[in-house]
Amino acid sequence: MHKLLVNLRYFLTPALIFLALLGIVAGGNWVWTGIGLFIASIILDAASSAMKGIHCAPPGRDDDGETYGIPGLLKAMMWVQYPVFVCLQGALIWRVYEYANGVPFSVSTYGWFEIQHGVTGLQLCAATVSAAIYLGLGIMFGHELAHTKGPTFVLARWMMALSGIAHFCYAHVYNHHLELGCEDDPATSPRGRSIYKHYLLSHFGQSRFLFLMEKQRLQKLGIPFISWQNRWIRGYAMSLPSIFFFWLAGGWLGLGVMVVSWVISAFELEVLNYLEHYGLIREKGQPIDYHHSWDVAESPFTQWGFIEIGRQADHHDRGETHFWELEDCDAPDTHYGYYAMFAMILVPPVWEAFIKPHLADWDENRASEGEQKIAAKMNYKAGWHDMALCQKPD
Amino acid sequence: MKTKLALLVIALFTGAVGYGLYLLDIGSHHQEILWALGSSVAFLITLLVDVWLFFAIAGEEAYQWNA
Repeated sequence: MHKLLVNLRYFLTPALIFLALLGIVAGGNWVWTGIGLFIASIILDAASSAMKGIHCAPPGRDDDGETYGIPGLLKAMMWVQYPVFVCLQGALIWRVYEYANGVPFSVSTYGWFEIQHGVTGLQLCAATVSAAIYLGLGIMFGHELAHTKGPTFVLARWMMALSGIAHFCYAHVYNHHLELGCEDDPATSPRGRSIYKHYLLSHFGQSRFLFLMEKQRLQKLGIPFISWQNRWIRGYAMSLPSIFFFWLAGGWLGLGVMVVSWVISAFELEVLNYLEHYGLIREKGQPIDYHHSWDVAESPFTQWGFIEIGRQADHHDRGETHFWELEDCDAPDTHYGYYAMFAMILVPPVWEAFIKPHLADWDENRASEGEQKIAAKMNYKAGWHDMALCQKPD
Repeated sequence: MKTKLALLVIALFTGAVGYGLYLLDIGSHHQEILWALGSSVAFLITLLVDVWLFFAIAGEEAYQWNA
């Protein structure tokens, strides 16, 4: 029973994704389902985080040392997300088609399930945001699969391509995991940077990494840059089916809906990057350690909903390890979950007020001497003159 | 500064391409498969050029922490 429950907890987000999909298919005011679930998640996460002392233990192992995670079940759960995401995007495209073509309002009943045809402008906006939110949250499955090799890595690229960010799979593994905590990693946000600026720079920065990697690789192989073997170009080309069907369904309106959906999904990806390493510093050339990542081990809602992605320190230590095998580490922890912190980062002054004491503690108790020197300059540059470490850069 | 310039150039380029495609009246043919496919490829190429423009104009500066 314990083993079953340990595994079932990772079905929280797939269940929410499925409900958001059902909402869009059902139509009418059900299209708000995804937005409602997301807001409820923020409230639940903030509430469970605020109840200090709820520690979320990792899945753990039985007496024989075998993990409680059921690999076949959890892998299948991740693979199945791809067709679910295709259906989610397909449902949105269908609603775009209905709106663009003025499909009259009517109701069809299939057993207990009622589908409302026709959609208002406001409902189309809600459907767009709902689908985008859950396509964005689905990135966590793409992330997990990006750490594998072979067909499942390609599946991760296709998952990301639904939101126009297939470059992430290469940039994450070959850039972020090797260069984290310094300016060579665009996915690490320095102190004082807002999520909005980070979204832009991290998004372009990761794409740029793959662009330069492919430029170098193809040059060595004597293959022209503009070629089908270019994985940067191929990644964007993987998004062609999405572009095609949105355009086919709704013309300029469909294209606009797709762009909004891509922006929201990619924003969520950058939110995760932002929260996982915000303000943490590593000297170039020094090894990556537990203290270069923020863990969220005190938030069960986040750990279950984000398939243990909040065990960032162990994930960076053992990148190839499956999420159900990650362990607790002595990593810095803000004691708030991702959903709760997501609400904070949307208002940069609120976020800064929240994170500065945690960073001050990090500077004093966890940073190496070299990292403290960099932290002092970064604090000055961020305008945080009230921090204990603060020094004008040379 | 270079980042803002890059974004401005991207906006101008995308706007120009979009206006050109609008003048070609591609919106009236979006439900014809071949037109839709051609238009989608044009959008994809526009996206690739936009991203490349950002790299070319913003350069390294955007990512430096200067610490």
